[in-house]
Amino acid sequence: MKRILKQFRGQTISIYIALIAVVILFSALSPTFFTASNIIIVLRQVSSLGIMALGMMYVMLLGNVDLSVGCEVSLLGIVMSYCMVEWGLNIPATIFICIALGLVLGLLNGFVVTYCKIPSIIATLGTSWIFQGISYTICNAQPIYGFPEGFSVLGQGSVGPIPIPIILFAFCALFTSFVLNKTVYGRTLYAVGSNEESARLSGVNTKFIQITSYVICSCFTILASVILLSRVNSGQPSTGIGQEMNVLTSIVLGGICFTGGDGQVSGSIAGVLVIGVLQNGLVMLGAGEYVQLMVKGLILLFALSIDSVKQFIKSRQRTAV
Amino acid sequence: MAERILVVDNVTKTYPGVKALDQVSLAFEKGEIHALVGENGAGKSTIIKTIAGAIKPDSGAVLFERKDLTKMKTSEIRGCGIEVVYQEFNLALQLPVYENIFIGNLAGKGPGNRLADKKYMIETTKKLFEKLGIRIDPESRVDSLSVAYMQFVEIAKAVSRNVRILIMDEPTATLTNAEVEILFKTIRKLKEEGVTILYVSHRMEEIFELTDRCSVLRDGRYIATVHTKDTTRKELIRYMVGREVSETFPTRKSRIGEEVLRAEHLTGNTVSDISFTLHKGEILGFGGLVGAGRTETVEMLFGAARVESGSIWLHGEPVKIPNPRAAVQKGIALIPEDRKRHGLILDKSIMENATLPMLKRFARGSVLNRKLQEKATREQTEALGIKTPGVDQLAKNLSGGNQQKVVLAKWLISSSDILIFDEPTRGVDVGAKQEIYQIMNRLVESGKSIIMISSEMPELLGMADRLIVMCEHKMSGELSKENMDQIQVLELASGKK
Repeated sequence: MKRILKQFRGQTISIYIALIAVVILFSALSPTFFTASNIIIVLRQVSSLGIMALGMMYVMLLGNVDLSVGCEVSLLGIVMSYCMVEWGLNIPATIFICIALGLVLGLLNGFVVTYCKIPSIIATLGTSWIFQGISYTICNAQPIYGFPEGFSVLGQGSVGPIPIPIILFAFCALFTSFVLNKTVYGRTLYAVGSNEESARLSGVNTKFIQITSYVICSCFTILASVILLSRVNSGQPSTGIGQEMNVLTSIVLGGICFTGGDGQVSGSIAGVLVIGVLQNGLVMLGAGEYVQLMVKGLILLFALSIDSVKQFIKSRQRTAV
Repeated sequence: MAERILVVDNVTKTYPGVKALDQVSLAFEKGEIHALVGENGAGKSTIIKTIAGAIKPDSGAVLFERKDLTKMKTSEIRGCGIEVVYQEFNLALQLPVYENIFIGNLAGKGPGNRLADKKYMIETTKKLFEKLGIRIDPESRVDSLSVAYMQFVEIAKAVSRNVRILIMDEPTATLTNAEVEILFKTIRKLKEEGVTILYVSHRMEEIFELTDRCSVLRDGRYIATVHTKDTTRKELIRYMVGREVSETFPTRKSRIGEEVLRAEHLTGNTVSDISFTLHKGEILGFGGLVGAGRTETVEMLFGAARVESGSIWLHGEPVKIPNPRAAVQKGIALIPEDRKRHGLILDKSIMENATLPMLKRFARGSVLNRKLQEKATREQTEALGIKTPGVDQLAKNLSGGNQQKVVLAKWLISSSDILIFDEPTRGVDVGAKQEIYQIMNRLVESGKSIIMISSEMPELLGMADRLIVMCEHKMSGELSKENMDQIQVLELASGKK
């Protein structure tokens, strides 16, 4: 127990409070909210967002950001649709192309940030316009549909009662937690994010770490885009637009430090769940999309201000001693 | 003669407008503690950076066991066992101590050594700390440690890499006496193991207590190398400054007048129950150990931290100082300890820095009048003796002493009459120190009042009219000029009374 508490002490606890609060709130307001079937629905809804958020963690822990993940999802989706429908490729070949392209996009982001030395927020804004432009050009702004049978299994199928996307999400979370906490690569990532200069002077190849972080982020985005495409079962150039903001919101909620070096997988997952629960619960209550936006914004500001209030109280306590 | 392990051979390094190093040659022997002294801007940092490979010299070579370091990559130089503990710590603050020790070189296990071996790293760190006589929990986060402990982590980090040459840049600047003792013990232990130590410090006592030999630089040129035991303080200072400098404190003829500032039972910002008065033309010293709460106290006076209870009186009137802007308007100025972070905008010119608080005064309507700004700045740079080619020089290009004067110029231009100096001579060399003391004297003679926080005992005793001593976030006593002596202050500061 003490160990668990020690784990939590370093990071923000407000996200867990927020998560519990919204769950209790919606359970009270809607009788169907806290049921097994609805919980599964929520989890399935957030799984692609969650996978992207986990990928973004690698980038954010270095103090960078990747704004292009949303448009990357769109682009990969459109390319896969085009391969299957226009070229008639089979599913494995399509996914292979998707992975290859995704890795190239990740490398491109990493290259622009690391070697062209453009601040990541600007660099990935730039690449995101490019990705968006390409996807609209390929499909001529028209949705593409008519995928081979079996493609929808990934997004819509399930193993027993549990949908496949949830399983993939859980796997990604365990994987990321393992990599970040237990491996040399993960701990070096934290070191670079916490003090890049120190790490560089200690002989860390910081450029390698930065580039690979974008490639890893892209790997998670690839998975998310396959899941999304298979769930929607038609390729639309607007699928991913705005997703990057959801991803950012959830992991910032989860206490990932914007300047890098601090943050845990558990926090990110809680952040993702808060976003998912809000979306689901508000729909249940009959609130529209626009209300959802407002609530999301309020929760973000509220959750983050809890931390400053906490720090204020802490500084007063220090005086009292 | 002992083995020469590291030789700096005829190194020259030029920056635009400045010759930072001018054909400097130095030799270091194996297992010696070698001090590198000189005023700010003498080229000590440039030498260190050249040895560490952080900068490449224009000409000349640095030979380590006959290998030329200037031709190597930074990582290869580190591979030779050359480590630098810089003044600005290079630690990953959010990470635990043991990961900082192993940063860039995490111990691995499992397939291909891909998994971080936490247990091994913690054990090794523990052993290392025991060897060095440091008591720190390897698993605590670095940002939870005090500055002194961070310093020890830095040293331990260097030692853990089989250090052969350890370069320390003013390691004691932020340490208390007890901590300095531990540090010296550690350094001597390393020396016994054959490590060569390059020790940069402004504190003369330390150089005489610790070092074997001493090399002096001045204005980027090599002046002399002496055996420390064969030299005197006076001689060293003469080498450093190039002229005789008195180390005594200049006398002043100030008349102490009426009360200008009074704090009553001031509590907040981690300190509690602080009461004192400050008079016109007076220098009030604040003594105590690092971390005793002195900076925290003046932050409240300056409105940089919230006052929880107690009151502040200015010229006999109770006042509220909710933020630094209010303090500036009331004529209170803070010359902070960390001038690079809190006192100056390094990338802006002297003029922009100096006129920042009172920009309105230099504007017609809302449009700035550059001529007026320039005139006011020039007056101050002349009065304070800031050595610079012009007021457009960027603050970051100035030496420590001159930067300090720019911060001061800023407040003199805005005609503040209560000046709070937080460690005014930290990182400032002997010559510039004297100048700063003289400036402070001139200020109080002209009727201003000064609060001076200092950790340097001679400075406190020499400059202050009265002393407030703090201990563990409380006021532990007040001493008037007559009963001010070193023992009294130390006892109060360590809470013995």
